[in-house]
Order: sequence, then C-alpha cells, then structure tokens
Amino acid sequence: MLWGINGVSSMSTRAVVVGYDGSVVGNVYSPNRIVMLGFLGSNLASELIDRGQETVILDKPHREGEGLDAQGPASNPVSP
Amino acid sequence: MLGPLRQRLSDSLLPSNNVSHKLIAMAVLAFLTFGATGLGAITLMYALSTMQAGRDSAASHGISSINSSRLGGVAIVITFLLFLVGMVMLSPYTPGVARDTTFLHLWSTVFVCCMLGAAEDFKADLLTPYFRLVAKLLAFGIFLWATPGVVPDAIGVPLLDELFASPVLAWGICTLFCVGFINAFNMADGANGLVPGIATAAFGILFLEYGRPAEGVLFFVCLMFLIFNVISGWFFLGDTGSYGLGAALVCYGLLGVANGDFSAGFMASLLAYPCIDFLVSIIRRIREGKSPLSPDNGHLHNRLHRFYDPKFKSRVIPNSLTGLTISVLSSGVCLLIYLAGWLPIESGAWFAVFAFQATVYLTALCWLRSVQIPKGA
Repeated sequence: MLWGINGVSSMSTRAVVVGYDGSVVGNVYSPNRIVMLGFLGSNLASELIDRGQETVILDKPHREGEGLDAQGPASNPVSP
Repeated sequence: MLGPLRQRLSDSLLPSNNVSHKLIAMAVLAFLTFGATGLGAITLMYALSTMQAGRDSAASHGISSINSSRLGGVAIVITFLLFLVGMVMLSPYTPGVARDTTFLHLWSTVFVCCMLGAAEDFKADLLTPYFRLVAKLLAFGIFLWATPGVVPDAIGVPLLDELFASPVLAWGICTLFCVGFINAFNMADGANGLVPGIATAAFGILFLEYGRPAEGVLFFVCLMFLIFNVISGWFFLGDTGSYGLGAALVCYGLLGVANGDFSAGFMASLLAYPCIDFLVSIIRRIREGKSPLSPDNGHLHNRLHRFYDPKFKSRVIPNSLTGLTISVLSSGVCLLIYLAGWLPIESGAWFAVFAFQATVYLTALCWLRSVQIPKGA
C-alpha cells in the first residue's frame, strides 16, 4: 500500500516537473502503473493529478489554504 | 503425539481449498482494480478478519450463518488513515482538516461516530443505545451549529423549504436527519456488499465530482472492502464502519446540497435504500405495536435472502447476492444515470428517480411478503 501512496506522490511530482504536458496523466496503461495501481487505480490517479493540477503537490510555505480538499467542483477548477 | 499438533498447525496456517479459492478470487479482483496497492489492502483486511477481537457468532446475525468479524469498519479506518498519513509524509499534501475549519468540524464529527461504533464492535453493549443516541445528537448538533454553512437554505421541496427558511428549524431538522440517517445506514447493513456497495457508488460519484484525495481513498477502501465482504463473508462493516461511512456521507451530502453542487433529490436517490428501508421498518413496527427501533427480520434484504437461500448450497452466495442485488438496483441505478449523463446532478428531477426507487422497493417487499406467507397463516 505504501508503494501505491509513494507512486501516486511521485507521479504528481513528475507531473509538476514536466509542466502538466499530459505525459503523466495520459500514461494510464503503462505496465509499471498497472502493477502498482491496477486499471481502476491508474485511472483514478490520473484523474486526481488532472483535477488537482499543481495543487496535488502543495508547496506548504507558499500555498497555505489551497489544495485538493479546498477545491470546488470539477466545473469550477482552481486556477493555476 | 505430534499428529494432532501438526494437524492443528496446518489447519490454522494453511487455508482449506474453499478458503484458498476465495483468497485467489479476492487477490485477482483486487490486483485488476487497484494493483499491488489493492493486494496490500486485501492482505490487511484478511489479517484483521482472523483476529479474535470483534468476532461475532453466526447466531447473532439476521442473515449470515458463518462466524465473522465485525472489524470491517476498523480495517477501513486503518487503511484510510494509512493513506492520509502516507500522503502527508511522502508529499507536501496538507489534508483538508488542517486547512479548512468546515472539514475539521466535519471529520471530527465522523471521528466521534466512528469511536461510538468502535466501542460497540470491541465490546457489545458497552454503551447503552440511549447514550449513543444522545452522543450522536450532540455531535451533529454541535457540528451543524458551529458550521452553519453546511445547513442548506432550501432543498427543493415546497413545504420543507418554508421550514428551512428559519435557521434554527433548519438546524434542528438537519440534526435529526443526520442522526436518523446514520441509524438507517446501520440498520441497512444486513447483507454482504449492501452498505459497502452503496458507499462505493457514493464515494465514486463524490470523487468524480470534486476530484479530492479523501473521496478517492474512501472509494478505493470501500471497493476493496466490497470485494472482500462479497467473496468471503468473513468480515462485516460493524458499527464503526456503518456509523463512520454514514456520518461521512451525510455530512458530504449536506455540504454539497448547501453549496448547490447537487440537488437534495440526487442525494436521496443515491442513498435511497437506507432511507426508504428505515422509514418502512419504523412504520411496520409501529403498526405491529413494537418499538420503532427494535430489531426484526422484516427488512427487504431479509426477505430477499429468504428468497435466494433455498436456491444455493453455499451460505455466502445468497447473502452476497442479496446485498449486490439491492445496492446495484438502488445506488447502482443512480451511478448509471450519473455516468451516462442522463440527468444533471443539480436537477430536481432526481426526486422522480427517488420516487421510482421507492415504488420498486414497495413492490418487491409486497411481492416477497405474498410469496413468503408462513405455512398455516
């Protein structure tokens, strides 16, 4: 389970580093991800990163008060 | 002399053929849906299900005929907290409770409900029903008083909307509704996969709607528990699970309706079975001159189980089939309409879906009662 948590966190970090070019979110069915998160889990992780954008990984000192739990509905995303 | 000892050791360490098949089925489903992470969750649940604490005898259940553990809710709480702590430690994620007072109050209320349930799961009758009821009323009363933003101004029902115009009345109605819903959720937890199925569908929709990690993790944990519960029947949600999940769902539901994210009709339709079954059960008991909260076997899930039971040799299959039939035909229908996009979730037309679900419930109940009239009656 910790591997899964670590995996989602690493994917989010990678998505931030590559500037949300879609490579992390779109890479849903890569073998490594399927083994780690399964078909549903891999889709869920992509959805989480896609919805959260840069708020998936919060920079605590600078982004207090924002984050996934502070987001509105999907139709009202947090602006970058 | 070593023979019996060896036999006992092999009995306790090596699973029988039937147990092996169940473990393999659970592992395959968990791996396909959530990979190695799902396997980890199933392993944790298996370990907890073998614990002596929280074990229930078959005689104490309405439907189940095998000895099972009541620590399913504890397993859900542990897995959920493991993910939350893991995310906080491994990434700079800050949970909602640390940033937003609404979420802090919401999860504190869920925690109180979980603790009330846990006390009952670890030691039956440790707390009296009256104490639990008062504690739940206090927890929700304080939560809704301290966080008025969670109380909706209107719910789209003309007569009730006039009452909701008064903040004090709205607070009182919502407090009673929340406590009633948790009891309804607990009452509906009578067949494998029934309440976990409803919770999985509800958290799945909430995750798709908000995209927050908390609902994502709850969807994952509920799905893993659903797989474990339906295939093995070794684990029950227990009061920790039914109180905790019920509290989380009713709080999220109220918050969503108050924010205008979805209609009250949508939440009613999503959580139709516990609500309808609770109301019908209370009316039935009052008509029979019994206490409205006294347990009985007249629920739809009890009757459906009696219908399925003679058709299968297995003791688990009729139980799981009962739970899955009801959860798929109630919350599953709502999930299908949502995923297909046939109705916007803000629409008041969801009340029509709820009315349809209530009609199906009453029709099924009447039909099962007519075919299950005791001999000599």
